Amino acid sequence: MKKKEQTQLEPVLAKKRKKDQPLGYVFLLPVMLSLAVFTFYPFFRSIYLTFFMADRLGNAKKFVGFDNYIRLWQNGEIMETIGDTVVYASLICVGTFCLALLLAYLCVDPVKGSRGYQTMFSLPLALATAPIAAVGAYIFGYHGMLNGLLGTQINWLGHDVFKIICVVILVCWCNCGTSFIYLLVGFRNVPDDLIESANLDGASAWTKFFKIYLPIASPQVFYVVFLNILTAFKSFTMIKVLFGTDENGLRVLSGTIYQKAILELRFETACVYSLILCVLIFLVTRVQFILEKKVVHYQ
Amino acid sequence: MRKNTNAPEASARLKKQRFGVAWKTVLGICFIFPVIIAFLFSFLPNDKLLGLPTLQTFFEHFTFENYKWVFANIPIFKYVTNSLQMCLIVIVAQSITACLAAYAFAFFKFKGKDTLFQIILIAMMVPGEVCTICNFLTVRDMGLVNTMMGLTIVSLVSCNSIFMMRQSYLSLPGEMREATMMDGCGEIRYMLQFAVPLSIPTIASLAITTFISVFNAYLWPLLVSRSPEHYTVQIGMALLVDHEVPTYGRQLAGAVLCMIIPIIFFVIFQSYMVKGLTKGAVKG
Repeated sequence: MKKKEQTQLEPVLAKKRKKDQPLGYVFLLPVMLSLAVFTFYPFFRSIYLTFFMADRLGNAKKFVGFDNYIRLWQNGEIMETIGDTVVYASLICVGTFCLALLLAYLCVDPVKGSRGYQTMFSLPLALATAPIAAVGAYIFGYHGMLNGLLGTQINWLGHDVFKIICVVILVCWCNCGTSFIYLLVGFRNVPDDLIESANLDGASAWTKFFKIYLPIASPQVFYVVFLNILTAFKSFTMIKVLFGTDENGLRVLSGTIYQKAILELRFETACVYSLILCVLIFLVTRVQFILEKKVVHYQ
Repeated sequence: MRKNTNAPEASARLKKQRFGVAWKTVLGICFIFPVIIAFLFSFLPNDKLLGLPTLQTFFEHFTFENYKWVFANIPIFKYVTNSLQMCLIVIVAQSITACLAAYAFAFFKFKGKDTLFQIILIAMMVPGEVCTICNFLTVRDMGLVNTMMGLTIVSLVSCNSIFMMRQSYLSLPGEMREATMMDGCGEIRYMLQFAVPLSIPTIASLAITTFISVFNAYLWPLLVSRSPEHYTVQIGMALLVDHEVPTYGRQLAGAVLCMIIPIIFFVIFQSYMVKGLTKGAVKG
């Protein structure tokens, strides 16, 4: 009886499966339209613009070939900005990672009352960068808290080395909430019996950390490291709020793009910088992709 | 007998545990000290904030002046609503487009489906930064500068969301689809009554990640919103930070007003946020 029913239904189903479903195109229409206008068109237009001199409205006027690249290369601007960006991004990556790792390792045991400090450690996750930058401007300002606390008269944000450190501290604080949560989830994935047997064998906290927690949480560790590099490349909120349009502030790629395009109305230069940023991001994601296969071990 | 020997050990362990919780909580309070400082010092007048105020000045000069000034001069809640409105529009639009597109990719058969999916994968690799400048030119030519439309139009579609939604649809049991189809359920009804409701965890986790990135967006709002009534929190806050004359009290008051809503949300929805963030982002 059952078999008969099946045989009766099969042609109906087969017919339904075979038919081309034009509704699919309708569903995909908004997506494809948006991608065409706001992803692919601007991508090619940026590349196109870098070979032209543009007017102040961003229209290509005169073909100049590679002159834009050569000009920026020759006056050393490109290398300087890339150098600053890489230093800034790597400091932020290392700082955020270490901070988040430490905090996550502290929270690894879910005990009664741990939710309280967990919430505090992950709080920066909920905060936008700009308000934190405003608080940072007070802490590190010339008339601010740190000078009052130490009794010094140091212009923290005007000093060549200190200003980078200040920005990095603030950005690390901002970013570490997300990393903290990923790492915590990774550490909590470690099976209890593994820890118990390590305890019985008398393993020290260091050994447990390096031989058990880190390898098992390696997918999360890996993800967090690259997440931080990429965020650092893209973010310049902290720098912009702390330094305003100050020429002596930190020069990072994304900030330079904004400055060239909006303040100086040099759209072709901005496009060159955004292409460089694109290449940098692409390289990082490639490295991530290659390393992932070698370093990360999935359970 | 056995119980007796274990009791002191257990109580010692409990004591140690409580001590651990206590010092970690203290560390946590130290960790969020910028927020606490901002809150406390925002009640002090500007001139008392030059340098470190003592506890005595704090009680003597306690004032709401800074908040009054911020409310009178800066539409801070307008900024917050702008930011939240922008987040809401982007999240809703991304969810709808992703639900539809992913459904087409997961269940429909039509010509060129694989090619279209390849296009999505390629678009995922194009970093948003390279498009920003030319997108700004497009949006400006459309006359959308200084509008909510201009703020959100470039991020109505997210390839990442489409990809994740597709994964979620594909993980639904195939028998369920067969059975509903056999009972004469149409595609749209299947989508609205089965596929989308069953994918709500994925949608929620995508919404949370989108919220964090849109709420923190800086470059795009900076380009598109040019007049104070269209600023988002991020842009508006930057104006409060005066580089010539330090007006720390007002800065801190503004920062507190910007932070207070997200903090309340975060404390209430913390566990959902944590779940949403970690779901699906990392394999393994």
